[in-house]
Parts: sequence; C-alpha cells; structure tokens
Amino acid sequence: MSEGLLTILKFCLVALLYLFLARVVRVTVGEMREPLPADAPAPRPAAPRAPAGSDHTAKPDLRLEVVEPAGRRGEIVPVHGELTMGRAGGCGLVLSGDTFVSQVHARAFHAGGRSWVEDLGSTNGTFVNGAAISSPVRIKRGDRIQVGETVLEVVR
Amino acid sequence: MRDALAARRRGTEVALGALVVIVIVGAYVLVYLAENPALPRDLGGLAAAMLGLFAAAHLAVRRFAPRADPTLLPLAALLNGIGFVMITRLDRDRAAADALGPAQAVWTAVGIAAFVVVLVVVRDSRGLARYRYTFLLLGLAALMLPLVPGVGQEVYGARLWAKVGPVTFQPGEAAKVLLVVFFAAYLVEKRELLASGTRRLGRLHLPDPKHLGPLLVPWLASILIMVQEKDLGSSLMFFAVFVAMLYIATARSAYLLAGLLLFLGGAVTAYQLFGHVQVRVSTWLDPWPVAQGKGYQLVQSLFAFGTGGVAGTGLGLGSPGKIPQVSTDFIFSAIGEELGLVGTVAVVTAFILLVGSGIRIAVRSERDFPKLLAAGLAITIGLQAFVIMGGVTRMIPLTGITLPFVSYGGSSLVANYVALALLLRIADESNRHARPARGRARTPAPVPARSP
Amino acid sequence: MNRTLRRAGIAVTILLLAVIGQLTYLQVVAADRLADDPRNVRRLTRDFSRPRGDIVTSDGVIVAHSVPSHDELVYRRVYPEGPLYAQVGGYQSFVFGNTGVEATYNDPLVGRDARLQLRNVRDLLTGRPQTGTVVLSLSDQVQRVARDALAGQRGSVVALDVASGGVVALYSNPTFDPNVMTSHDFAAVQGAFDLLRADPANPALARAYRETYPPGSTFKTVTASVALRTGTATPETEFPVLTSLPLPQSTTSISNFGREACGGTLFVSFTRSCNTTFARLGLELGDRFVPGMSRFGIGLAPPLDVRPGAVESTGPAPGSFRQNQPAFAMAGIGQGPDLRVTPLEMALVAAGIANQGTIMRPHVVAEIRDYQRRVVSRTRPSRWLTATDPATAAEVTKMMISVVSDPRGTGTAARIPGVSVAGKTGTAETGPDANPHAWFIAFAPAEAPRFAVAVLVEHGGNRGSEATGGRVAAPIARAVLQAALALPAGS
Repeated sequence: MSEGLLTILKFCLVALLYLFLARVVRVTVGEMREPLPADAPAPRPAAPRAPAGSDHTAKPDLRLEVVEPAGRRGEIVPVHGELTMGRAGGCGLVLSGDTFVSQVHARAFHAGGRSWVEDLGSTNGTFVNGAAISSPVRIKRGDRIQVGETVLEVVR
Repeated sequence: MRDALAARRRGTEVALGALVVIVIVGAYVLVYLAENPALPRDLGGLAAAMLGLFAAAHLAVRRFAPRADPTLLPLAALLNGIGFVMITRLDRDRAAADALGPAQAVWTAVGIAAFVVVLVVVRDSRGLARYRYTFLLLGLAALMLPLVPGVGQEVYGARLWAKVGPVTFQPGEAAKVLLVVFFAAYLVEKRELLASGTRRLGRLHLPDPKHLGPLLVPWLASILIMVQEKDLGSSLMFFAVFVAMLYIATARSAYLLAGLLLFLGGAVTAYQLFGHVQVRVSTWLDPWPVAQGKGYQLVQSLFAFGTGGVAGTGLGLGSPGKIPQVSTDFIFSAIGEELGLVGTVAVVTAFILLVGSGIRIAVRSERDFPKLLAAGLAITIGLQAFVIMGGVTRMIPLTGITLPFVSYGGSSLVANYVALALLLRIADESNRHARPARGRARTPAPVPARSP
Repeated sequence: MNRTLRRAGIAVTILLLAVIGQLTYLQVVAADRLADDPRNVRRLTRDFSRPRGDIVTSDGVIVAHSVPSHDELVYRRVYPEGPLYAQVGGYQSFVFGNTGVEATYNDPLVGRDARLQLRNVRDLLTGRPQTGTVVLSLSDQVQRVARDALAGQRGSVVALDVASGGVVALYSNPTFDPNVMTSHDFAAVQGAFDLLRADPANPALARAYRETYPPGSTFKTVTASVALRTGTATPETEFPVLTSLPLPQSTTSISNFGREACGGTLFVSFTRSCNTTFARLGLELGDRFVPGMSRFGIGLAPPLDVRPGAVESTGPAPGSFRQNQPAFAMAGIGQGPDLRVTPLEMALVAAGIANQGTIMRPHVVAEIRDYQRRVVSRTRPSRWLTATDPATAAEVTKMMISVVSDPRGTGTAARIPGVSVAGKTGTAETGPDANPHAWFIAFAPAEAPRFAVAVLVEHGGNRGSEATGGRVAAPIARAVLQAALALPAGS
C-alpha cells in the first residue's frame, strides 16, 4: 500500500473524527439554547416594568408583530424591558377580543441580554413555535408566540 | 418513544454513534493497510461487533433513560474505539499469546453489559443515596484489597492489583465510583453544617475545626493508598475529586485552600519519606540524564509525541512499541506518535466535551444528590484523563493510571461505563419533568378562558 | 450549587486545555528537536524502511542510491563511486547516524518535504515514490581530475563556482569507502568504524573543510587586500629589499624563501612572494589586520550545507597587536601559531577576489528534484561575506595574474594555454622537523572569473623537502581549473 495513499486516508479519517466532534459541539450548543431551570431569570419580579410616562421613544429591547388575528395584522408591539399580555386592561398588550386568553396570560421580557417569553399560569397555555412552554423560553427573531388565538412574531 | 425530546435525542445518538463506528472501523482498516495490501478479513466481524455493542447500549438508553443527553455514549464509544484500535495495533509488536486486543474487546462487552445493568437496576438515582455507607464500606474494602496477602499483586512496583481465582483486576477503579457515590450522599447530608460554622481569620472564613474531619479522613485515606500501594495517581485523584465536591457542595473557598495546603503538606512529606516519589519528581523535572534508566519511559513518550509532530506518522507506521507499558499508561503517547497533534487534540477535545456534558447534566439536575453525584463522576473522568495525559507529556509528574475508556484494562473500562450509566440516569431524570420547549408538539385545542 | 459547579467544570476544562498547550509544545515547537534526538531511533527506523532518493552529481553520475536489502531494514544504501564522494555525500548509517549530504538533505531524500509532497498530490494516489533526488553542484569530471591530480598524496582540493558559491569539486586524501558504513550487519559497521578511527591517517576526516593548516604565502592575498583597502599601501608602494626582517618584541627574524634578497614595490613583492615585505605590512596594519581578515572569513565557519559542517579558520585575537606584534608579522605571511585555515576557506578567499570582493555562500547541493527528475527547488546563490571592494579586488587580481604570468613569478606552473590564470603560491612552514605544506590558490579566467580553486598538499607530498606551492600544488590547480573550464558555461 502506498504511503501517500495511507497519508490521504489518514487525513480523511482525522477529518471524519473532527466532523464527529463538531457535530457533538453543535448538538451541545443547540441544547444549551433551551433554558435551564437555573438559567432562567426568577419568574415574576425580574425585569422592572417600564414606569408610566417613561421614555418610550428609546429603542425597544424587542419588537413583536401581530400575525393573528387578521384584524390587527401588521401591528408592531414594542417591548421595553417587559410586556405583559392578557385580557386585563393593565396589560402591556391588551387582547380583550380573544376569549381564549386569560386575564394576565403571559409576558415577554428582556433579561441578561436575551429575550424570553413566560407563561403566567394561563388556562390555555402559551406556545412558542407551536410547542407549549412550561418555563421561560428564549425567543429570537422569527419565533412565533401564540396566546389564545393571537399569534405574535418576533421581528427583532 | 414517549415524546419529541426523547425521539430527537435518541435520533441524534444514533447518528453520532454511526459516525463513531465509521471512524473506528476506518482506523482499524488503516492500521491493517499499513502492513497488508488488502482489507482485513475480520472487518465484517469487527463492524458487526461494534454496531452490536453500540446498539445494545443505545437500546438500553432508549428504553430506560430515553431523555438522557445524546452525546455522552457516542463520545465514550469514540474513546473506547480509538483505544481498541491502538491496542490491537500495538499487539503487532507483541507475541501472539500476549495479545491484548481480544481481551479488550471482551472487556468492552462486559463494560457495556455493566452499563445496561446499571440503567436497568438504578431507576432512580436518589435510591443510591440510601446505601451510602454500604458504598463507603465497599469502596474502602476495594481500596484495601490489593493489600491483602495472597490476593494483592504487585505489578511494576505498585500494589494495585487483586487476584481472585483466575481473574486479576484493579479494585481501585471500582472504589473510584463507589466512593464518589458516597461522597455525594454524605456531602448533601452535611452540606448545611459544613457550610455554616465558620471562624474568621482576616478576610477568610475558615470552617470550624470540627468540620475538618470529613476533609481529613479522605486525606489520610489517600496518603495511605500512596504509602501502601505506591499509587500516586489514584491518591491524588481521590483527594482532588473529594475537595472539588466539597467545594461545589459548600461554596466555601476555604475548603479549597485547606485542601490545597493538606495536599502540599502530604506531597512534601511523601517526597521526603519515599524514594519512589523523589524519583518520580526528579525524572519529571529533568528526565534527560536518566533517559536510559528511570526516565526511559517518559523520554520515549516525549520522543513519540515529537516524532508524531502535527500530522503523525500514520496508523501502524510509527514505533510506539518502544515505550514500555504503552497499551495502558502510555496509550496516549502511541496516539500522539501515529495520529500526531490532530489526533491528540481530538482525544483531549472528546474528554472536554464529555466532562462538559457531565457538568451540564449536573447543572440541570434539580436535586442535590444527583447533581453532586453527576459533578463528581464528570470531574473524576476529567481529572483522571488530566493526570495521565499531563503525566505522559511531562506537564506534571508521571503517575501510572489509565486513560478512561482508552487504556487497556477491564476494571477501568467497566468502572467508567458504570459512571457513564449513572450520568445518563441523572440526565434522564432531570429531563423527565421538563416539557419540551422547541419540539414539534401539536398545539392542543384551546378551551375558552373563564371570564373573571 | 450551580455556580460552584460551573467553576469546577471550568477548572477541569482549563486543565485539559493546558494539556493541549503542552501537546502543541511537544508536537510543534519541540517536535523536530525530539524527533532528531540521537537517542530517538524512530525516524531513523522509518527512514531505513522506505525508499530514499538518489544523490547525483551535476553531470548525472549517481553518488548514492538505495537497493532492496531483503531484511527488516528493507533498503540498503549503496555508493557506486565509493571513496570519491565520501566527504561530501557522507553516509546513511543505522548505527552512527547520517553524515554529509545524507544528513543535511535527509528530509527531501525520504520525501519528508512539503514542496515535494504538494507537487505530487496526484502521485500520492497512484503510489509513486515521494522521494526527492538531490543534485550536487559537484561535477564528476572535475572531481575525478582532482582525485587523479592529487595522485594519492595527502591533501585537499576545493573548486568553487565563484558567482554562485557552488562547490564544483571537493576531494581530500586519504578518504574511505562509505559503503562499509551502510551494512546492516551492525557489528561489521562498528568494526569498520573502529578501524577508521584507529587509522593514524584519519581517513574519516574531511580535511578540505574540517582540518586547519597554516596558509603560508597564499594568505598574502588577504594581507595585500587589507593593506590596499585600508590605504596602508598601493601596488606601487616601495618596500626595502631585504634578506630578513627582525621582529619586534622578539629575538627572531623573518627571512625570505631561500634566504634571498627580496623587495621592491608591493606588486613585485607579491609576484615574488617576499616575506620581508608582507611581514612588515602585517606590522603596519596592526589592529586593522584582524577585522580585515574576518571580512574574508577568518574567525568564522563557512555555512557549508553538510553535516558535520565546516570548521572555523582562526587568526590572531582582535586588538592584541600591542602585546603580540610578532604574531601580526607572521600572519602577514600566513604563518604563526594563531593563524590556521581550512582549504575551503582559502578557496573562498580566491573566489571572493575573483567575484569583485563578494564571497558567495558555499554549497554542495544545487537542486532538489522529484523522482521524475523535475526540479522542485534550486539553491539560490546568496552573499556570505563582503571581503573587499571591487577596486581592491581588481588590483589584487592583477598581482595574482603576475604570479602566474611573470617569468619571475612563483606560480608559473599554473599557466593554461589561452587562459589567463590568477594565482598565489604558498609554502607553509609546519615546524623544524617537518616538511612544509604546499599550497596554491587560483581562479580563471582572470578577466571574467568562473572558477576558483584551492589546493593543499600536506608536507609537500611526494616531493618532500623539495616541495613548494609552485612546484607541487600549482600543477594540480591547473589540472582542476582546466577540467572546470571545460564545463559548459552557465551550468
């Protein structure tokens, strides 16, 4: 067997070895994206709610765009620190028309340089990309948040 | 399959495992091609055996720990496989009667069997905590076994082996896992106590002297191992793992400091009292004057790494047989010679990923005992790998212990597979309750919310 | 616990990363040192078990090649020319390691050379040999003439291509057969080695670049160059006609060859090789002499591409003129206990004057070729030293031409019909009871120099006490120059 060919085969083998390690790294990183119980910020009083009259012209931490219902489609909802969603009038995003939404249903918030969404004990649950969430879940651009029949897309 | 998370993780495990089988079979073929112009005749058998063993382990995980992390088993399989290929390759420089490859294959099967048994038997990791003192006794007994006359065997100047009937084994490897289980249970029980009582000394909070007991006992035990069995590596590891677990449990850096001082005290005393410790240290500091004598192994190991260079000589094309005990303690040097830096870095990376996964499992675990146990097991594997890889590269004084999953040795393989099974068990538990966050689960039909 | 847990995890990870750091040191930084350590036989074993390229002369004669050995070392090295190239090509010995070109060009010979490997990626697949062929700058024609002209006398011949620094011939007597060193019967190799060591003639010594001798009058080329460049004298400067010159700080004096009266202008003194004139110049130069010599390479080891390499030629200590004046007078005529040079060094002196004052880096390997004899790399000529300026070199050249062409000159035996030869004789005293060494350095054609040569015949060779550089060494230099000039130009 030519030594040259063996050398080439050796490098192929090493390449496969690193391909394997790279895939392990990718899987690990992928799993780390899922929030750990310990990683998620403490549920309720985490992000300070923006006080009334505060400077809302500042750049929002997060922007959500209404996808459903069709009547409010395209509406942009800026999130400064925290945004609560629900049928109650005090919520940051009032969804009084959606009967499947609880009074205070869910909140989206920005903490530790990342954006999260958390179900606040709603009846029908909160979904990110179709999956029900039980603890705070990181959201990123393109993710879809569903509360009741309302669907919001993270646009930034 | 019960849910999307489990399905995804086990799917990943299969994909990674398949890649490992390809790499290992490829490596085996390359070793063979270096000497022969055709493919090995036992190739089919080997591939089938590897697939079979991996499938057995995988199916056990799928059945008994379906939500466990998918990377640990393939990483262990990779290390085990690389070790096996190197061991069979090293058999070439050895008489046929002394061949280690077939034995290592059998031990791998036994290791996987132990892995499956642990997954089947240990359904709830917390159950282990109940038997902590049994584990302590078993662990200590295992440590002492080589000292029992008639059972213990001295090999290469270290009393690490026990011989019962026809089977020779290193009980220290079993003691490693048993004692980590005990430490975890013990520390969880006492952690409040250990963390609370402190005395101030300047800016340091020192633990109350009466709580130093748990630190002193393992310290004395490790000194004892060192003295009686001349096993520097294991004693260093036991103590370091214990101090690390104590620190994790209590968050008291004072324990780290005290542990370090005790270690240094022990090391200095050992250095002054024992000739073999002095020899180890002086060959570490400067092996070159004794290159033909006591430093021979180390110098040959360094030559192997240097000759390998970045790309290695190629599998089967180096002369790793020049290092005595290359199949056990010095297998990493053989990898360094034939696969070069690219090979050694891959092995170290696999260990980093393995330890990282173990630590992640510990972090995710919600309960204290499994958390500490997972941490202890991961740190044990990582430190053991460090002690031997550091030793053969002359980073630290050389101490003869096995490279987990890679070195030849049944006791080591079985113990490490048991540790792996425990890690997977804990991983499965912490994911059991958590619902999937990014799966493709169907949205359930909503029900109208009650109006207030 | 998660915080401390992460810290512990990070700590273990850092330890493992440190292992990668140490591996990088061992396998990258220190790799070559470890791989080439004489106690490490790994690379050696491997090199013996695979094909090895040929070493050939510039005119295609095979100096070294490998044949299958039908034993565990697979290949055995054979040197078809035997002793002729032993001191350049060296040998590949499992027992004693490699020497000569076999040592310095081991990597291309076995194909451990990135340029060779990259070139032949396609050949990797087809399993063709990866080995390189090492082409020497030496010409077999000239080398044979050098050996024959020495006619068994102890001594050395070095011929250089002045513009490139390439060694065209390098031979010394006695020599040895490198084939005895490559046997796979290690006891036989040990025996042969012990025999070589025990031989009082020391045939294993490459006299041409590893032994030093007093240069005698050939060194007057250096004395004259330094004197001219520093303005201490011109070719027309008059020196007294003397039979001997008393030395300061001493009771001895320096006399001319045959106790003749000798002197006149520097030019005439050079042509007739007057010791009194050049001893006086040595004194006049004083502490300027040593820096001037070192520009010619005295005090340096020429970077010749063989292993073991060329040894250093030595001169008086710098700045020692005040306390050691006789040594400077002696050095002026190429004598004295402090002044010792290799034949290679004197060839480089001649080449420097021939090449307008610039000494090129000497080398024995011209090219590396792949197994198909396609050129992979060429040794690029580069400057080693600037010995003197072109004007001085031109003046010294004129004096050296006169040595050969003038009927009163000492080097008339080096004349070649139709070619102007520049040269300088030397007859170096070696002690009261020993015959002097005969030297000759020369280059030709003098008006457009191509080759420089240095010839040394130890203790006068066959002529014994009758010998002078002009009688014994100059005819050898002439033969070698003639053979070299017959080579195609630009080769």
